Amino acid sequence: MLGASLLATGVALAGSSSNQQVVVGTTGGLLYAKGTFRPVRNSADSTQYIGCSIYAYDSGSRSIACYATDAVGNYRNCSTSDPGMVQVAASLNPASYLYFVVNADGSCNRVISVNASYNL
Amino acid sequence: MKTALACALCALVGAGGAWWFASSTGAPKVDPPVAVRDAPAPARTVPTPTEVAVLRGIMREELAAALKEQAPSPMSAASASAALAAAAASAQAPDPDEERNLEPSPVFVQAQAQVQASIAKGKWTEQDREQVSGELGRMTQKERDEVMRSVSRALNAGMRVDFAGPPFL
Repeated sequence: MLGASLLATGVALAGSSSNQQVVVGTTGGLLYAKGTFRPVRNSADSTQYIGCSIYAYDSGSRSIACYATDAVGNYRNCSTSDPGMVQVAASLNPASYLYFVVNADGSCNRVISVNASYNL
Repeated sequence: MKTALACALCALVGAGGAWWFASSTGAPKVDPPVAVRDAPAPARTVPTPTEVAVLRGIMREELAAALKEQAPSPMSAASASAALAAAAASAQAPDPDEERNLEPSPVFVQAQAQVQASIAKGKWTEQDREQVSGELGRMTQKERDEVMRSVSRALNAGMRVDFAGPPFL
């Protein structure tokens, strides 16, 4: 019975799985960074990370800063107070894949998250 | 003949009324019914004094009705006055955020100086992060965006980050 239960658990963990480490690069002349939280957190190196911080102020305004460092220490970040992108940042969770693109002035061009089972 | 004349004059009154209605209700403007003046033969017939009197009566009634409909009620006049007063007050009173933006706030100037100093030394330290982050909350939205973008630009251009994590706390 216990064996069957463990076996069942093993089967449940056998779904599709992302292994997206932090990657930085350029797209359309703009810098970008991307990565999936779980594999980035579980990576062998102790350098890479990716995420967004949300800042809320008593004026009612909110801003975000998204940032990432790849395995060799390349740092990318952007900031914005665009409500749509703030909302995307607020949706991030342990099952998230995050992709952000940086405008030349340092603001975020776009922030994209994918929340999916294969990211867990 | 009289019937034809009456119909033509009724058409004239009806078209005039439609034009009046369109111009008084804000509907798309239409040209006055000048085309009716070019109507064929019946319009050129001279009406009898009785017919003219009847038609004048009809037009007076229609005009009176239209004027009554168009005249603003005391309530809507008051509302319009209030709206105008509010709009005027709004136009005169500057938005607090904009007003502050007429001149950069001291905290913004201080933060930008801090950021420039960090860029000059080529690294963004934990101390820089703490100091500037503490000032962000005392700026306007525009100032905050500008400071954050300045740091982002510099970091993406190669300014070294002396810690792991977000550029601001």
